[in-house]
This record gives sequence, structure tokens and C-alpha cells, in this order.
Amino acid sequence: MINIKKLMLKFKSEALINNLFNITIAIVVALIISGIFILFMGVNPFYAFEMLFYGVFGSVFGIGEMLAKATPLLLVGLGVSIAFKGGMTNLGGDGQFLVGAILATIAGTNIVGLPTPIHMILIVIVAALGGAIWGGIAGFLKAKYNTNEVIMTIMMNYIALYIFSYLIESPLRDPSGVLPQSKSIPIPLQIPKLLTGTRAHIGIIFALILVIIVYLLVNKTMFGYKVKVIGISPKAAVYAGINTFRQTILIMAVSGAFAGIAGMVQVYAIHFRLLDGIAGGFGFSAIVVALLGRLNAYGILIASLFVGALLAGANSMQVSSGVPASIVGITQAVVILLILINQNSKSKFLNKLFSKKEREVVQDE
Amino acid sequence: MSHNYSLSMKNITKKFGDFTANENVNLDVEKGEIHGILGENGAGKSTLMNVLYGLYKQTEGDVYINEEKVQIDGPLDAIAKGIGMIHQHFMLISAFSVSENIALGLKSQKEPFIDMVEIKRRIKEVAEENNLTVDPDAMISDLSVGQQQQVEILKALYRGGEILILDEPTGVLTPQESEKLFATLKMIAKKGHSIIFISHKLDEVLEICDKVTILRRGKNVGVVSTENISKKELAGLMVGREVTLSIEKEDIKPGKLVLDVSNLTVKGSTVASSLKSISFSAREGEIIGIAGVDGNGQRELVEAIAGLNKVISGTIKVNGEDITNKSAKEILKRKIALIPESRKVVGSVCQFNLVDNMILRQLYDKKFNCWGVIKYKEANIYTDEIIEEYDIRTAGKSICAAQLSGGNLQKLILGREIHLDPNLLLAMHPTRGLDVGAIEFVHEKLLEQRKAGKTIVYVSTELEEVMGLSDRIIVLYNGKITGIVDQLEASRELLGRMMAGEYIDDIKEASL
Amino acid sequence: MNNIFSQLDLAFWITFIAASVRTAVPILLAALGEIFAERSGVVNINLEGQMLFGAFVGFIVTYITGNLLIGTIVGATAGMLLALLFGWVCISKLANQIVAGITLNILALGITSYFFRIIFGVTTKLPHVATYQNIKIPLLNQIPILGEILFNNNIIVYLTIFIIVISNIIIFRTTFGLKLRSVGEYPRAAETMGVNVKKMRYIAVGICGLLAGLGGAFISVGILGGFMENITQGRGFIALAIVIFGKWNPYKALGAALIFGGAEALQVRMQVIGIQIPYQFMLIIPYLLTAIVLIITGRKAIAPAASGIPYEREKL
Repeated sequence: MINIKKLMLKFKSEALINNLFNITIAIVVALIISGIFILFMGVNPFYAFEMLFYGVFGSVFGIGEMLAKATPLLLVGLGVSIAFKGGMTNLGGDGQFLVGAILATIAGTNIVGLPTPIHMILIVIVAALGGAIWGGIAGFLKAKYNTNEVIMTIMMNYIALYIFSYLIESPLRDPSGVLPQSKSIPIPLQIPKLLTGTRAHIGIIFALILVIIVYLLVNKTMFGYKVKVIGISPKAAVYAGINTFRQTILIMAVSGAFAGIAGMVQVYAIHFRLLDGIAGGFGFSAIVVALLGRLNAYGILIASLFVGALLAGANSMQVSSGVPASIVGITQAVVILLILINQNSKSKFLNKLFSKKEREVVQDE
Repeated sequence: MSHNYSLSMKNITKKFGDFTANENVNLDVEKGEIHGILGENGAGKSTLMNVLYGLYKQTEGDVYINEEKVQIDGPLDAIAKGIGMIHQHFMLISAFSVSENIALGLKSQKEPFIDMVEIKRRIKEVAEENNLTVDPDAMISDLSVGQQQQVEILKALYRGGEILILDEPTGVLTPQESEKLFATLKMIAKKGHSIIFISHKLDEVLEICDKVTILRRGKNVGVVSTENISKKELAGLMVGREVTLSIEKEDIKPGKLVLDVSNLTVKGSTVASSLKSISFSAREGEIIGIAGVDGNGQRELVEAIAGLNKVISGTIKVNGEDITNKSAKEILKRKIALIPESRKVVGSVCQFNLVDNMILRQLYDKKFNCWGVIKYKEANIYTDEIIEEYDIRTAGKSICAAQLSGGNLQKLILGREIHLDPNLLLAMHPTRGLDVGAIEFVHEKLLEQRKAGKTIVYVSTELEEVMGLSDRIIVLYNGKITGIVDQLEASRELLGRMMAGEYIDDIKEASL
Repeated sequence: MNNIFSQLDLAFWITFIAASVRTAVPILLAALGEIFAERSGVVNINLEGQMLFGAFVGFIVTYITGNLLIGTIVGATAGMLLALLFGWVCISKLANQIVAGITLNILALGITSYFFRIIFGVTTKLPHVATYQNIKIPLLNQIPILGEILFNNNIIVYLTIFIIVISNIIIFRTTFGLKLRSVGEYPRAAETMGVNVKKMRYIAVGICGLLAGLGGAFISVGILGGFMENITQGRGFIALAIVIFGKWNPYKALGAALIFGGAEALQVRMQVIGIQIPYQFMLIIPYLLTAIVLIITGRKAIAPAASGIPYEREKL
């Protein structure tokens, strides 16, 4: 282990490598802990992990599944990272996702006669707007009434969830369906597959473009600069002449817009209609993705693939070894927990765990 | 040992990682003595006292109390050994009453319940014995700074403090309040307590202390008796070189009117700091000093001009234009520069590198902003220029602001603000916490600006500096102006009385 | 409409208020815990997870042992253990309290779902246990109206009332409470007076987890007699809002919790008496109410000055 690290450190950007190293160790430890949990039910953890791994990388379908799971996580995760950068915690990914999905579906099923590309652009805009409004409300309330955005976004998740549930049972319900669900999206508007025979779709390419955009936005533009100033020191932001009121709303709105787009993508590429459970806790997994990716756009991309693989593999693991898929929830949480414990403590917990000698740590405060 | 020391610290060394805050420091204090510890900011005075109070553990060295070697394991232990500390930033909980603050951490006769009756009785007793005026039922947040200090002293005495440490106790007081404090301290010392008086102010140390231990860069540079040393010698010991104690200023004829404040009313964080209809003006080539005890409306005034605080009524005009209640962005556009009180939280973004910090105040300027994209190339050049011109000692421009020393960070802010080519420069406590070299640098730069015909509003609680730099001095008390005096008329005594709330007209009338 | 109003007689109101009290209890218990934590300077967003833990462990232990009391106690203890883990991450390891809280919520959801699945497999028939029996307090329960509402409840409800009173005394009248509040207001000052900041925060977080766990156990074994995934349904977050609304004061939190209990009970009753509103809108009520309460309280709420800020000792 120590040798690998020394080797890695020969490359430039010591801080980055250090980060990667810590994250890798955190993942390994999390898998060991998950393994212990799997032992509880009398299954050989190596077998379970093998099934998990095989489920993802054993077939094109598995890889497609990973990409399909990673896409919404990546989108919501990017949004979450912007809120985090701005000093806010957006736990409202699920709600914003649903509002985006609802509006996108209405725009797709009710508007007819537009040329497909224009219609598609309109749908994306409407979805982004839906998420932006749902996130922006929390931002507005924080800016105006100093409400706690953590609790507020959670409450708005429940509110969106029940509105969604009402809509698919009554106004938007497809009368011909047995289950409560909306009419399906017209075929020309559906997002094409990336790999045939899988669920991976070209939405991931769209998401990749957004990764680059977010990276540039955060690091090269005034918007990103303002977000970061507010996140670090709101008083300095006021001093810099930044309108913190407007900016707070904007940050949450932009953050929500990403979730809204994710909602649209999930409907147009995976489910083709609104139905129960489509948000499926992406909001929380996106938090994991954003933190694991260290709030860096490229990091989030890698993290979303990792979590996407876990989620995709978990299903096949559950089928073949009987280990409940919810084990990966534990794995995700433990990874983040280990990183949290490590990053602020002087003793650098993880380093100590794996190398006897404490190495000089790059000051990142 | 021939003396009977109530406290001795021998060869104390304290390291924080690679940084050595104290190196082989010695301190001997006799019973009934007021012993000064003199040193510049960052000389290691506070560290030494925190070691004595058990907040820090020394890396090396021993502490003796009444000739007996002791190990101080924490504040509780320090208190038990008769050490009481009055911190520079009061360790009082403002949401609590006086008696709750006193009761905190004490064993009660009625455990687990607080015995308020007994606490209040004892407070009155101790207050009377030591000539302190303290109301046990008052909330800390309702007390003036001077009263809070009395609570702090009482808190230490209540716990049987034999050795009292006062860390920069006069920084927040008017000269008259300081005199009162000195009287109290002398009385307490006469009763047999030992007092350690930490300060960087030469006059005070000479006035109240019997002996002084001088620290420089964490090391002892001498122990002297105040009877046979001059202020200049003391300053030389403290700084380590010859120091010019006076500020030399050229005569400049003030130009046209720049800042015109009339009937300004602003709501502040407290009643005392809320501005109540104040008026004054400032001209080109003029430094207007704002004196006063902290929290009497200085921050509110400066922030109102800079657009960071809302004006309730009244007007602020700069170069004839009404800027009242314009946004900070709009005011920034009109080239009004501000050196804020807090360098680390307001004046800079600690996790940003120097380049990002340098553009903090020019986000909307075409110079660095092209359709919302930051022009980092220009920003890099600009940063290099200022680093060079202001002699900012740094390992490079890509390190973050938090890694700069206080003096260098202040130079960065100063350079950044002056480079705005301001019509009006607002400077709040620009020298607070800096060493003498950096203070001189700041003064020099401000005087340069004055010479260039700029208008400067200079807020400070250091009377010497205000009197040295300003052309005119405004004294704020309770959010009102108690008087505006010319530099030549100003004296410590006069300013002190105005800082305590006496109006200049009344003072003049009384002296006639 | 007529027949709906005809149902709103005295009996309706008595059962409604009694139901409000019952539904308020778990939220209130969690809120009381949170008051301890926040008074000591720790914002425990992990409250939801601690409730969930309490609910799950409380149910499982009751199911296995058949003893409600043991189940409840072990459930509360489980909440406390999770809280102490949260405390370790935030207090000793100085992690951001909100992020740590969220992470441990995900962990709690993962662990409870996982083990529930392992123990009971995939069934449509949810396992059940018997819930607490009401204890009528002699004489007092004879008081008209009040007797039915207050003195005909199960033991946890009585315990909750006791905890409110005791909490108020502990926080405001004891030397322990003084220390607790001091570390939440100005930990450095507290430390100079010899208060062990970290120890106080650990104790407060431990108490918080114990009460949250008890609240969670009350949901599973006290009200429903069963468990399902994510049974707490955001009640931990509602409790957080109650703490703010109740100004970090146990009695005021009681008032706030009763409003929420009322909203939930109302929602159930409105469905029962058949008011023609989609059920989803009824289910929204508690969450919407929380949002509104947060907006109303927003600027006026003054939290303990140091809440949410990790405390580090040797800092230059």
C-alpha cells in the first residue's frame, strides 16, 4: 500500500493524489465493513461482491445499467455540488427531480405540432425551470426569511412527492393503464439508446457536456466566483458588492435545475412516462456522489460511475446471492463517513490506519 | 532564591507544529506587585498566559507558584491554584445574567441545582470588598464594556484568584475608564494580590506597572523596573530597533468638499452603536479620524457610507452625488474604498488564493470581467504588481490568503483598495493587531494618499494614532458625535472625556 | 356537507385531541432530545436516523422477546448509540455537522432496510407486535373531557410529560444545565471556567439520541405495532423545525408538537369522515405546516450562538 502511494506521489498535484488515495482507502474499508454485514446473513461476502462486480462488468447490459444509473446521479450531483459550494445544503434533489419530470411530461404529451428538435429543447428548458423553481423557492425563503434550507428542501420533497402522486392518480392519469401512471411519451421524443439491448442512453453524453460546463462555470466565471465567496464568507460577498439575496436564490435555482433536467432525462430515456417511485432517492445518493467527488465536476463524474455501478451491481447481487440491494446504501454512507472522519482530524485517521508513519500532509486549509 | 515570588515561570517553550510561539521565556512576579508583560502583537504574550492558565500545555519549562513547582492541567486547575484570567475578549456569555456567568463551573451547595441566593450574596460581598459596582441580575448583553470588565475581575476574585492576569485590558476602554481600572488594580495589589498586566501600550505600562518583562518574537529581551526607564528605551526593547514615536505629516491645504454626511441615522447591532442623526464633512487631502470606544457607531457609520448597512434617514453625498442607500455595488462603482475591520472574514476570502482576493472588489469592472468570464491573465499581472509595490511577503500568488501573516494580508487589502484609485478611502482599524513595522507602513501609505489629495476616513481606538494622523477628529459616543476637533486642539484628556459622552461645548464652557 | 358537520360532536373532538397527543409524542420526544443537543452547540440533523434506528431496533427486540418494555428500552439505546457515533464524527473528528448528519441518516436507512429484509424476507404480510395498553389513572380519568384526553394513555405518553418537566428543570435550574447552555453559547468561555466542552456535547448528543430512539420506538411499537422501510417519514426533520419554533424551550416545544400532532390527526380524521379532498393533499399537511412554521419563525429565531460550529481547543 505504502509503495503504491509513494509511486503515485511521484506524479504532480500531490493534493489531488492524496485525495484520491484517501478516497480509495475509504472505499476499500467501506467494502470490508459491508462485507461484515453480508456475513451476518451467512453469505460469503467475496461471492456477493463477485456477483456485484459480475453484474456490472460481466456483460454489456451490466455496463449499460451502470451508465443508466449514473446519469441521473451525475446530473443531480452536479447541482448539489453547486449548492454546497455556495454554502447551502440542497437535500431537495428528489422534489426538484419530480417537478422537472412532471413539467417535462406535460410539455411532451400535451404540446403537438412542434418540430422535434425545438420541442426537445423546450422540454429540457421546462424541466430545468421546474427544478429551478422548486429549488429557488427554498433559496428565496432562506434569503428572505432565513429559513433553514436543509429542513425546507426535505419538506418540499414530501410536498412534491404527494403532488406527484395526486397527478398520476387523477389529472395526468393514463385512463387505459391499470397502475396510476401518465400517458407515455411519444416515440419521436424519446431519448435514443446509447447501446442497443441496454438501458444506457445518450442522455449521458448530454450530462458529460454539463460536467465540462459546470467545471468552467465554477472555476472560470464570475458566477462561480460569487458562489464560492458566498459559500466561504457571506460578509466578504456583501463587501465585494455581490447581491447576496439574488445570488442565494440563483444558487438554489441552478442547483435545482440540474435535478429537474435529471427528472426529464429519467422519464424520456428510461420510464417513458410518470410512474410511482421514479425519483427513487436520487437526491440522497447525489449527495454521496457530490461529496465523494469532492465537489469537483470531474470528481463527481467518477463518483457517479462508482455509485451507479454499486446500484446496478446490487440488483444482480440480490438476485443471485440473496443479499438485499440496500447493502449498497450502507456502503455509500460508510465511504462518506470515513472521508469525513479523515478530512478534518489532524491525525488523518485513514493514513494512520494504513501507513505506520504519518506523512506530511499538504495543507489545504 | 532570595525573593519571595508568588509566581515563577521558568524556561517556558511552546510550539505549535513548526511554529515556536514562546522560547525559553522566564517570568517572576512578587506578591503585591503589578507586573507588566510588554510586547508587540504576535510576540507571544497571550500564548505565555494561556500556558499559565492551563489552556495550552507548554512544550518545555516549569511553573512555580509560591516557590512550589506546579503542573497546571487546565483552567479549573489554574483557578484552584489561585490564578484568575481576564481575557482580552471577555469570556462572558452574553445570553446569561451576571450571576449565571459567575456560577458557571462552580460547585453548588445545593447540587444538582444552582444556588442562586448564595451566589448573589457572595457577588455583593466580593464587589463591596473590592470597590466594584456589579448588578448580579443584569444580563451581560445589557452591560457596557467597562462594566463587563468589572464582572470579569469579580469573577476571578470570586474564585479566590491570588494572581490576576489581565490581557490588554484597556483596548476597549476610554482613557477615564482606564484610570478607574488602574485605581482598582492598585487597590487589589495592595491587598496582596499579584497582577500581571499584558499590554503593547508603553504609556500604560509605565504608569501602572512596578516591573516589566519584555517579549519579542517569543523570547525574553529583558526585565526592567519602570522607575528607571524611558518610554523611548522601552519602545526600543520591544521592537528591537530605534522607533520614531511621532508621525510626521506635511501641511496640506484641504481641497473641495468630498464627503458630506447630514443627519445620518442608522440602526446598529445595539442601541449604543445605532447612529442618531450625525453630520460631518470631509475634504480632499484630509484625514478625518473617528475616535471612540468600540461599539459606539463607528462600524455602522463606515458601513452606511460603503453601502453595507441601511440608512434609516439622512443623506450621504460624495462629490455632490447622493449615494444614500445605494447598493454596495453602486457605491463601489463610485470608487469608495473600504478597509474593513475584519481582515479575515470580510476583507479577504481566506480559502481563495491571492489572485482571487485581488479581484474581490472589481468583479463588475470590465478590467477583469468579460461577459461573466474572469480574465485571469490580467488578474495575475495585476496581482504581481501589487505584491511588488506593497512588499507583500508571500511564497507566491497561488497560496491562499489564510497563509499570509496579518501584516501581509493587511498590505494586500490596503494595496487593493488604494489601487481602486478611490475618491474616498474608509479605513477601519487598519493597524489593529499589526507589528510596529507594518503599522508604520500603513501610516506611510495613508499619508501618501492624503498627499495625493484623497479623502480618508480613519477609524481607530488607538488615540495616539488618531491624533497623529488626522487633520480633524470626530468623537463618537452612543451613536452621536460629541465633538469635532482640530488635530492641534486634540489631547488625550479632551478626547477621553468626549469618548465618555461629554460634549465638547460643555467641556469648553466648563473650562471658561 | 351537512352530515359531515353532524359528525363533529364532542366525542369527535375528544378522540381527535387524544389522537393529536398520541401522534405528537414521538415528534416531541425527538424535539426534546434535539433541544439538549442544540443547547450544547450540536445541530443534530441525524435525528431522523436516530428515530429510525429506535423504531427498527425497538420493533425487532419486541418481536423477538415479546416484551414491549425491553424492546422500547433497547430501541432507545440504539438511538443513543447512533447519536454517539454522530457525536464522535462531529465532536471529536470536527466534521461538518450537517453533512455528517445526512450521511448517518443514509446509513441508518441502509442498515434498517437491510436487516429488516434479512430478518423478514420479502413478504407482503408485515409482521406485527402488540402495542402498549392504555393505563387509566384512577380518579383523574373521571374528569370529564380532560380525563379521556390526558389520563387514559399508555405509559410512554405519561413518561413524555415527565420528561418535559424534567428537561426544563435540568436545562434551566441545574449546574449541569448551566454548563450545557454555556458550551452552546460560547464554548471557549465555558472552557476557561473549567467546563469540558466535548464531554458536555457528548452527553447532550447521547441524551438526544436516547430520546429520539424512544420516539422512534414509540412509532413502531407504541402506535403501529409494526415496522416498514423509512417508517419515520421525515418526522425527525419536523422535530427539528419544532425545536426552532419552540425557541429551544421544552414547554414551547410541547405546544408546537401538539400543533403538528393535531395536523396529523386531523389528516387521518378528515379521511375517515370522508371529506372530498384527494388524500395526498391531506398527507401534505404536516410537511406544509412545517414549511410555514419555518418561514414564520425564520428571522425571529435566535439559536444558541455556537450551535453548528465544531469546537477545537488548541487553535492559534
